Amino acid sequence: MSTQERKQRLELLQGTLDLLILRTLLLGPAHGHAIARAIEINSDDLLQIEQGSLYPALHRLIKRGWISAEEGVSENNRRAKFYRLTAKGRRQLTVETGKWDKFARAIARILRPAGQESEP
Amino acid sequence: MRRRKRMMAELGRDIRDHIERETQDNIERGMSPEEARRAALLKFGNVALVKEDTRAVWTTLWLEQLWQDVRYGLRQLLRNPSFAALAIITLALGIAANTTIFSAVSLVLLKKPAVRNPDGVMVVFSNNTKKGYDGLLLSAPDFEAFKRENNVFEGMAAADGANLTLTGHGAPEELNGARVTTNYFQLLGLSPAMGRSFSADEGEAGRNHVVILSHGLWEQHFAGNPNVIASHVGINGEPCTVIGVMPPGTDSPVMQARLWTPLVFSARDLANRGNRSLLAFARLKPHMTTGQANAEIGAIASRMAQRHPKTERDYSAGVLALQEYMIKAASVETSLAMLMGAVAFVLLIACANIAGLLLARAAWRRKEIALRAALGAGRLRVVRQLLTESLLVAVGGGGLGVLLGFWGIAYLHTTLNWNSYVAYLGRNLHMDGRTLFFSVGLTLGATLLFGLVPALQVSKSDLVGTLKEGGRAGTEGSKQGRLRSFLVAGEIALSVVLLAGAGFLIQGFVQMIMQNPGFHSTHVVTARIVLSSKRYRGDPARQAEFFESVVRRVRDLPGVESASATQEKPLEGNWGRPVKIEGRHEAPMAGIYYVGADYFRTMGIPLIRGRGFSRMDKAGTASVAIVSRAFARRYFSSGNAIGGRIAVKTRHPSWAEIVGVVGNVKEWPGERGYLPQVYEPFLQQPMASMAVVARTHYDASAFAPLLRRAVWSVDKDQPIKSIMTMGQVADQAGVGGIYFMAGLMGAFAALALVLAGVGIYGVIAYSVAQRRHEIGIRIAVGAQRSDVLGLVLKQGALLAIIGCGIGLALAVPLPRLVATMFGPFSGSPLVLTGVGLAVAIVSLLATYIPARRAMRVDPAVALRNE
Repeated sequence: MSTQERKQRLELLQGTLDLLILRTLLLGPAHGHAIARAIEINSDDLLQIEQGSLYPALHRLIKRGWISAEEGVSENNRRAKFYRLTAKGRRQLTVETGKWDKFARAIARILRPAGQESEP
Repeated sequence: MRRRKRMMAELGRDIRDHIERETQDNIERGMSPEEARRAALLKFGNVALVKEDTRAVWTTLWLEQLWQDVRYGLRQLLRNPSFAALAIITLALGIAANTTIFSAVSLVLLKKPAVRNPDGVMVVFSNNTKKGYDGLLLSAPDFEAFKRENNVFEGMAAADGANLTLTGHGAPEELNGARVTTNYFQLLGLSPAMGRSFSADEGEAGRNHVVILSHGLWEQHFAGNPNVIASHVGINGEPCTVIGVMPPGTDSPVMQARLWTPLVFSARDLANRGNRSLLAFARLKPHMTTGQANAEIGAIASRMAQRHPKTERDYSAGVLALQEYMIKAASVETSLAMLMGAVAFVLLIACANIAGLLLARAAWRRKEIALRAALGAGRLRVVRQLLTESLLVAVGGGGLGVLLGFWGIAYLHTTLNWNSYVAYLGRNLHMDGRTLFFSVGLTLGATLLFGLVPALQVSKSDLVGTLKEGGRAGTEGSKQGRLRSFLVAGEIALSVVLLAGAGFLIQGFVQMIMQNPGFHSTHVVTARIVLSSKRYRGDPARQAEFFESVVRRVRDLPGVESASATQEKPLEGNWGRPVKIEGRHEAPMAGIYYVGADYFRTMGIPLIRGRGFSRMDKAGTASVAIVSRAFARRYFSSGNAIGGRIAVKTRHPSWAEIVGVVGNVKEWPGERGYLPQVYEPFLQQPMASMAVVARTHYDASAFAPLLRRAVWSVDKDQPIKSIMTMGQVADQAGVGGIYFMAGLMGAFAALALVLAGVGIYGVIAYSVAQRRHEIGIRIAVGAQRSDVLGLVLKQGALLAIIGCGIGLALAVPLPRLVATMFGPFSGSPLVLTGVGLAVAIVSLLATYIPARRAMRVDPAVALRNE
């Protein structure tokens, strides 16, 4: 990975990792590495996460009861820990997504005031 | 909890899995296996940190880390007990000194007066603008005018300090008491523990035969008898009924009164503007400020000055909050500030010492710390670990310091005696909450001071460099070396300042006691007798007769060489009165003494010319006087005053012929020169209060029962006060306070010097240990042992010289500070020289021991150790 590439990647905003994990798990249970890969792939490799930072975040979500962890067998027949979105987590995802949208719109409005808007 | 444990146990496996998968992915992307694994690890980040962060999700992590740090720190300290002991003892001494002195600050300056809502209580006082005295008491008409005309106070109460003689219960006793207006207790918000306080009608003449006792008096004099209320006692010979007992700790502020009777103003009192003896208390109306009260009282005073120009012209008035007035009355702020400064210095020196020790130790541990950093400990974590060790030292040192502080306070309790008021306050000295809080806070502050600097310094050090250094046990970075040297030079400077301060105080003290007071203070016992009983009131002949018989009986006691009486004792601060001299226009000030026959022989004051007084110089015979040598020299040509005539300005001045000249006597300790003095025979001017003086080989306590028996054989109801030797009189007059200050400051300075010595020793010893290798090489290539000795000594000397220089420069203004305590004072250069010498000797000693060790380095051993 060249430095150039590295620079183009985005650092995650504080707290957004939780949201991304919840969104990823909406598609179904997954193990840690799969979650990390999914986030990277779905963002066209633009979002860079230090993969290790996923684990404190996962444990935080478990503690809050938004996801649960269970033992499972992965695609290549290895035991792995799978994380699954709970009902509470699903509700939380809706709340968080709404918040995020508002936040993003507000930031965009400040950065590109109506007059200068190039896109609708 | 169990869930957390399970989660954590599985985390390691999860992470391993994760990295393996990433490695696998990377291999599929075409990387070599090693490359793939490296990339996976890089992408994952710091595994240890991830684990810690995850654990933090489940616990309040800091608590766990703290526990770890504490256990680790304890192990470290125990591995090096001499370091731990030195650091803890050093800190304990510093904290103990601060705790002890702060307890006095807390008592004298910070403690709120024991009255209800103390901030609202004011003291109203007058000032003599002409003579520049302030905080003076009020006359009865002043008090009434302030009370009537002000709009700022809810009420005003007055107290008139009085010696009250209590009879009817065992031995007659003269006590500090106060006559107070009947609203006094109510105004201060004090209510009796038993019985009642005064009712308004008890402030009328004839109904005022009631008394309220303090708790202490009730316990001592009445054995805590619960049925004391309504019992009868004699106060100054008049029967009174006990109506109340106050709760403990509610003695009158400032006045030290132990019993109270109602204050009654007679018509004569209300017209007498000259008798200023009332301490006036007032309570502010809500929302009124001290400033408003001050302005109002000032305005009333200036109106009075216009109405009564003859007496009030030179007087203004003001108010102070009770607490401030009490601080002013104690008048020890300067002394306390000096002591606090001294102990702060001791603590700073202690901190510098501990910081130095920690730095030296940390240098040895740099490798360990670098290793911890390499294994993923954040810088903050390392700093915290090191700070925890400092905290452990703090807990040990602070705890021990507070314990020692209890002992120090117990010591102060008995020795706090700048003046009688502070000695009185001192009886309530104890470890209070404020002092404890201060000590704990101070310990924490000190910990930050001595812990943080070395911790930051060490944790910052270059990781790779340290690890690369290999076998050589950490040569100290030059920066750390400089920091340690700086600390030690600072310590020396601080101890020089302390030593100089103590030295100047001791110099002042020695100057004071070396002065010839003009009399022999040893073997003279005195006691004051005040005739307050009705029997003697307004009857000079009877008063004279009483004292005549007492002196006669005292003289006949076994072991007494001679005895006499005097109205005022030397050293008690006779401010003097104007004296007219026949043939001269002006009336110069002189100290006036009314004394009995044999006074000069008893006190050991030399008779220079003429004669002393005899028993024949009494009422009805020609008025005579004796003057001091200073008086004779100043006002009579060639000093021959015999035959001259003088008149002391009193209400009825009468000319008296000078019949003798005696030696000068100090009016107060440390007096510069001598105030001219005039003596008159008390038998020609009898008065109700005299001090009996006796030359005897007994000390005061052994003599007291004999003296009492002699007095009571004349009048069995007559109390006797303040039986003490003239030496004790001098102590009370201020010598004691200076002695106390000089002693304490000396002790703190000595402590500082020892600590600084330990500091120098530490730095040099450490540096020698560091340089063993270098010294070994020097010796191997032919350096003389004496060269090595010189090399090390030079290092110590340099520190000492720099520290001494800074310290001496800082000490230059100290004599001025000492002057605020006992008048004009010029510091002797001998003191500074002595201080310099003392520091030089200690530094040399502290350097010499490690220097000798350096000299003995065996090059073969030193080099083989590499």
